[in-house]
Amino acid sequence: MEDAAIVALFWSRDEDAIRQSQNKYSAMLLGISESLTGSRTDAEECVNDALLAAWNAIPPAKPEKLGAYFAKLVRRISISRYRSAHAEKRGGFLIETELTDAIPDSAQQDPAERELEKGMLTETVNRFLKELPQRKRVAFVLRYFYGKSVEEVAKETGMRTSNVKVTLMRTREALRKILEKEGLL
Amino acid sequence: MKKEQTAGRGEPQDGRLTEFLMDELNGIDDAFLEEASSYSENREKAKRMRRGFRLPPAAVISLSAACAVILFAVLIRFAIRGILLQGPGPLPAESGQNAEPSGDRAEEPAQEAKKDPLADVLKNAGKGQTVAGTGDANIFGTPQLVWRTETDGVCRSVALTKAQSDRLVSLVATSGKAGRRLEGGRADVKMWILREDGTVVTPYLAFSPGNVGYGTLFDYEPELIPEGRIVSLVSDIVGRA
Repeated sequence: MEDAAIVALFWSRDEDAIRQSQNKYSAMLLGISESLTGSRTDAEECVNDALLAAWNAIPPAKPEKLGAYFAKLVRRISISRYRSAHAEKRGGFLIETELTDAIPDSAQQDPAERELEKGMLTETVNRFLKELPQRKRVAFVLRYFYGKSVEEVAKETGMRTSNVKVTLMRTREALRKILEKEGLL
Repeated sequence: MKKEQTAGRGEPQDGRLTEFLMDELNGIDDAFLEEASSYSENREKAKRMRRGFRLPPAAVISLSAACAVILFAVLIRFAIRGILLQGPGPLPAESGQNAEPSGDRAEEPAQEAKKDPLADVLKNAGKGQTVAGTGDANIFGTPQLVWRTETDGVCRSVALTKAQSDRLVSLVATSGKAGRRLEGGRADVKMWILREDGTVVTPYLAFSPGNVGYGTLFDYEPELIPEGRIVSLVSDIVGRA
């Protein structure tokens, strides 16, 4: 079913919207969530929570790209779930550990400063991604948004695993430089 | 180096910053997300399309073989044709007259080279025309068409209007390059067009300053067979005379 038709079902408060969304996106959403939480059971719960959140948000929301919308919901819920379950250990999962490379040396330690930077950082990241060659951008997004493993990224982009690792490392370094230059973090 | 620096800042602070970055990545543009999720599928589609255009190896081999056979057949055909056209070579008497015919002449097909329709027209039309003798008498002032039959050496002429002489010279000038050579430079009939200003041209030579005479019926070895338009105009002129 087309995204627009599913959104129309949400708007008409037809519960079939949930079923159609599950049929179309559950595999993708489970993949994202499982890679972040590390648990199939947790991932299933996160996907259900995400669909419920979507049911509550649409209307008034009217997402044009439903897949991306669900992906963001399930990612946020999965990260949140993982953090509350592992509150004692920061930077617990591998993707976050890797992203440390992208943190500038001059990063601000004040949470209030970071609060001000919300949105600005997203904008900078989007600008940074826009400038990247397509294959590098895809690798970055697959790894750090969709939470795919390096092997999965290699398979989807047609690169060798070693190439993916090097590409991701360089991209993180480039992101760090941009963030430093812009005085963010 | 980087790891040492981050370790130096302390893990909890670094962790919070990384978390912040991780959270902010949730704001990545939807277009990038869609691009990444469909990248693999689009790549496969493109691959399939490329494969669709690719011929299977057997077809490539067959096609190459067919091309080779056709090329070989064409080459053989040209080779045989070349051998046939060369023939047994000129007779001793002929070779005495033309010890070294030019390469271009040798390449001309024999049956085409022998035809000279203008000579036929002039030989058959020679009966009633003014006999001009073999000299250069009266060639100034009046445009004329003069021809001489080589068998009896008799020179005949008909008067031309200025329009006719201009037209004839114009045809000679424009058709010279496309004309064909006579075999061995021999001709039964020689022909000249005399213009009122005394210039003389012949349709049997390529039109060039070196082939234009003045006040004389210059001798020449024919190089061209006059083309059809000249033949029909001359035929018309001598037929009416």
